[in-house]
Amino acid sequence: MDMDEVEQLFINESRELLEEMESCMLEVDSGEALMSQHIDAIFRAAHTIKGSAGLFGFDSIVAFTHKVESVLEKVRSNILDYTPELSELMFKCHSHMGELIDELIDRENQIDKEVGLLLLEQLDFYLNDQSAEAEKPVKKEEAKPVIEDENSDQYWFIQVNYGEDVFRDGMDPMSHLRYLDMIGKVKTARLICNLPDEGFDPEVCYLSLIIAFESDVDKQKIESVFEFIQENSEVIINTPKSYIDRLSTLPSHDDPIGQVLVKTGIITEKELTSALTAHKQESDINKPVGSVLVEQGVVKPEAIEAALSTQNKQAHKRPQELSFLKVESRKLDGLISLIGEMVTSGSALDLEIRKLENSKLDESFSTMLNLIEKVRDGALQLRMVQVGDTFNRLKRIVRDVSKELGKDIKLSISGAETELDKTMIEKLSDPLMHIVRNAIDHGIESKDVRTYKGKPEEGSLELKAFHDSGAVVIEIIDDGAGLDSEKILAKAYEKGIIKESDSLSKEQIYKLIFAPGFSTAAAVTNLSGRGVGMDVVKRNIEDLKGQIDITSELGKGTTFRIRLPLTLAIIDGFNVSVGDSQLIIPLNLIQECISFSDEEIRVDRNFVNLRGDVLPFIELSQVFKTESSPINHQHLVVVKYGNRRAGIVVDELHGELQAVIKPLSEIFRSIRGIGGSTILGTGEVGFILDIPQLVDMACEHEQKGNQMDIEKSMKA
Amino acid sequence: MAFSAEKKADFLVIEITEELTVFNITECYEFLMANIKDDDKKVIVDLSNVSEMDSSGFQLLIWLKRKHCKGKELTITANEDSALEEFNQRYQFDLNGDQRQAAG
Repeated sequence: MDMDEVEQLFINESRELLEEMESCMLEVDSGEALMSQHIDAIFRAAHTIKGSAGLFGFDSIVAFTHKVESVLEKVRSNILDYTPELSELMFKCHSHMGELIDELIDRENQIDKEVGLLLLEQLDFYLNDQSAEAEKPVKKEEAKPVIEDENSDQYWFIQVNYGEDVFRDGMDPMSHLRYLDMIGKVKTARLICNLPDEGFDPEVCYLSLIIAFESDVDKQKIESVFEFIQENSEVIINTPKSYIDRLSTLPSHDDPIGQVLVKTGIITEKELTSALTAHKQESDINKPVGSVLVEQGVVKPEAIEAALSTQNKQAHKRPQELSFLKVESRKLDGLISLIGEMVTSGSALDLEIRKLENSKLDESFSTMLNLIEKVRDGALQLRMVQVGDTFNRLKRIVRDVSKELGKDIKLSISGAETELDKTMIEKLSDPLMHIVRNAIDHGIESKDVRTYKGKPEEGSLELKAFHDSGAVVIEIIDDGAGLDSEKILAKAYEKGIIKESDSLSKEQIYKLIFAPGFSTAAAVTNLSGRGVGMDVVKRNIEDLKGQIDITSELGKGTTFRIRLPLTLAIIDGFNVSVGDSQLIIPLNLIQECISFSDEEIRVDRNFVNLRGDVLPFIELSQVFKTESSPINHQHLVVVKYGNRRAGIVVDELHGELQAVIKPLSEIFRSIRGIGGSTILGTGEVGFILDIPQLVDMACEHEQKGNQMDIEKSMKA
Repeated sequence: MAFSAEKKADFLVIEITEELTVFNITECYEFLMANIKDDDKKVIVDLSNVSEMDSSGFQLLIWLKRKHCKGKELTITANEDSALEEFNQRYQFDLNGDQRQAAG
């Protein structure tokens, strides 16, 4: 491995760590998780980045990250409270760390050193200012002196604050020590005697005991020692670290956290019951039971964390916890293109074998074809990535942008587990970012306006991903002002994008916002409104063979709907022909095939009556201007995408095939209606139809024809 | 009499016998209050003959050391096998020794 590769590794690793750090911080920020649950992960990320950067001598990264780490260390050891201000600072530091790492890739791209210095100053403020405060026991935990002695992992730490009546009740702390020595070994005992200066009463107990105790009994047993004094005294039992380690040996399970802790002897039934009661009284229902237990001082946050991690992974899903194998994407692409070749040659072989009419050969070959299909699916699956990561990146943007604009926005995400080809996900993140930014900036109104309109102050933004008839649909829904079609039209005239004479449907008007150089925002903010975004968005999505639709209701909100094909590599297709052109229709779009006679076509316009429904159709021979053989018997392939349906008139049906998509070269890109090409078993080239484009084309064509008809009739 | 106080040279020697438990602790406390005067600078408390003792007794001794005999020279003596010894050991608390340990 040469140095560059190692450096690349460092950059990749750091980015992953930063991502993890960010998602943890976001969870804490939104209140989904407690800082105590994530501080270790966040700290580890910063620490690892610092360590690796040190290896390479990236001093600026080391210096900056070191400060971040120091502050995090203070948070971890409970010296610093993770306040919203600190959280904000940490987000900024996180961004800066990202910039520092980006700088490594593109050294030309000098970052603003001032930003870093400013952040360092702020970090110093936390480091210095708070250290003085740390002397004072300000934290809750410190108010109740829990014994901390980290160097002995195997000891129980027991603190007993005896009640006044202990002697009168005939109890004696000494007997507890005696008993403890029977079930284990008392390592150290510290007697604390808080005598009053005046009014000493010899019958009142002023004693407290702090005991380090070595034993492998469970907490229940230890608690039972103090059973008779519990009413009036305070007993705090801290479980040894080694018990927390026990948790890691537990198999995955669905038990509630409390039960887990009781089972391993870290807490007792009694403590759990009291915590559960307190939990019920807690006004914040979302507060985890674990944190109540921590607050009551019966258990350390580490124990809760360890217990949580044993809980069924399904319930506590974090992608980072899955085990991954890193493969260079180039290798994967190589594999997939090889499999593509195999599929092609498989179908060539299929043709030859069929000619032989040898049933045994047929049979064994069909088994193999079946296997090829599975290998293909498996290989394509390798490239599939959950859209969740991309959505998580948007979380940060939503947070930052809404803060900057002073808008409260609730982001809800659904379908984060929907899978999509990796290359698509990469190309998708920019367009999504644009749309989300636009939605927050232009779509969702300011708080005042929202209140005035009678909407909740908090705007809502929804990200949805789901599968729909062979495609992945991503929706971005806001409850903002909606698109004003009048405004858009006026603007479009003004910019000369459309002519006065054009009459457009609502949907077409909305699509004008994708035109280059279009922007409706009165004031151009630094976030959006420069009119460079939306046309790029559309182009990016079309590059991915996807479509973008807008639906909007004035005053209610806007929905952007992006439809994307599942993969860009290999599809199941249906081979048809028109004249001597071989065409492929993606199989998952096909609903049915019906036979169709020539006379039926020659009705008034291009639609047929399909069992009582109106079905518009497209004659491919007309669209592609091919010589259609003059046969009377034709076929109609009914396709459906989204909620649109159309018929496609073809000459012949040839059957299913696996089509390895080969992109068309630049020269043919402008041909509409064709998405790519493939090599058929016979060695011929087949064209893959881009059905959505084809249908759009047909619609436009129809509308123009319609207008011409109207114009004609008006002239007449 | 379970308690006795006797002046020997400079020393005030207080002997407690039989028991020092919550049952006679108030009695003992009152006895100490009454017999240790301001001008007794050197006090010896002899627990050699105490056969029964509990933590309230131990607490009383701490009180004696820290509060009542503050500024005096207080020595608490006992046999190796007396009841006090167990308290000294289990509480890891040296009544005659350094007060730092008990400073809490």
